[in-house]
Amino acid sequence: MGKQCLVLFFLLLNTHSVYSQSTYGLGILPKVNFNISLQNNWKINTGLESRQFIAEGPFKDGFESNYRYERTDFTTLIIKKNIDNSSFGGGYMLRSKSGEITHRFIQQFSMVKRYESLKFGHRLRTDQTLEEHENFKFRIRYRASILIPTNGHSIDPNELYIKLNNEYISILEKSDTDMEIRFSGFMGLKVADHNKIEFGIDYRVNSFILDASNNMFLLSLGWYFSI
Amino acid sequence: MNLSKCFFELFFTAVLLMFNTLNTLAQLKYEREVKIKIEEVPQIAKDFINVCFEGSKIKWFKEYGLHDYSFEAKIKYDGKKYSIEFDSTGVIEDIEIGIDLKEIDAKTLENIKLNFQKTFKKYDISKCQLQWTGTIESLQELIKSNSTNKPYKIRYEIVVNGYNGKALKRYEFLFSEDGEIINQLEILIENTDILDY
Repeated sequence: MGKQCLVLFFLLLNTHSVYSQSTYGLGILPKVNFNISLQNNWKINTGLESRQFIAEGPFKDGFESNYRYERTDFTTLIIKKNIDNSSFGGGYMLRSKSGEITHRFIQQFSMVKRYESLKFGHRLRTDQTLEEHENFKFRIRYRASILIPTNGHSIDPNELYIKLNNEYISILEKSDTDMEIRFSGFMGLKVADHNKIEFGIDYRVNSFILDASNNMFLLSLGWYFSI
Repeated sequence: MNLSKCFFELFFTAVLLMFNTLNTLAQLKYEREVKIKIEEVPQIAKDFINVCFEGSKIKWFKEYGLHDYSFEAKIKYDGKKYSIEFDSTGVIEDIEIGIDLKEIDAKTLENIKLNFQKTFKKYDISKCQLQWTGTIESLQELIKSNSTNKPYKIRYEIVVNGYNGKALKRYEFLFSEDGEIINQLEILIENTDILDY
């Protein structure tokens, strides 16, 4: 018993040590997502997303406000919708960050299943990233989502909804691997079937396997529009 | 910093555009379902439910169409999901029970599938319900003992995603007891963009 307590004590000590080195970022993440439906169930999806920080640094240093614009992503995907509410496709993302351009190629498969009033979304993505002065990066990511209406069995126009996401991202860079986990919760408004706005908190943690973790808390604002 | 400013300008222009388009989108047809308290339900509808489903947990909804509204009780009873629809005055319209396709008589199912094959290049059935219509007495007996000597009608309501070679659409089909099409309605496919991207 005494030995087990000692092990637990050292584990806690180690956790505290890692925590004191951990970093945080507090920021905002506005995004616009625009979809165009084409013939034969093809769709073009474009997204514009920007990330800015209002405070960041090691946890141990406390909160200090310091605005920093970080990056803007522009993504275009071509998606084929299937008869069973699944879809697959791929595309390209252009990122502008600190004056440098990043190229990312994306492939995705997603599926939406309905159970009673809830909708469950599954998304599997792979991507390959090329950027100057950095190694080639390969990622595989899975996201599970749940969509909850606030009234009745479906989300009607002018009704609020809740969306919860949990995503796991495995990153392979040269011979190193890392993982990122994301949790997000959104409150959304379905203005019309093809017009939704939502806001919420997006929490992301990475580099936690071997190093001190990097934690991000982002206020996310999104607008989804399609024609 | 310039990029940040540029992004915000784009974002707010987009939001303004969104509000500009609301009038156009408001013309879309929809059915709105709102959960309601039992006090809002007409007594005649409550009486029907109390006779058939005493002690069961009941969820009441008010369904708004384009020109009228109706009441719906959703109940899990005897391992099955019941939806009982009443008109705005509380008079029963029909009873729907969630079933598997294999519960449909083989000959009827064959006809239903044949009709889908004629209508679509590809299709995927997402929901199937057995529908009973008849007098109050016949419907009450059907719920209690699954049979009655009084007149009633059996129909099947099936929701299907169908691809006709041009577009993927969602339909609600009403079939007769023999599997012949009585009615066919196109229903708006709910947009899943917020789950896909």
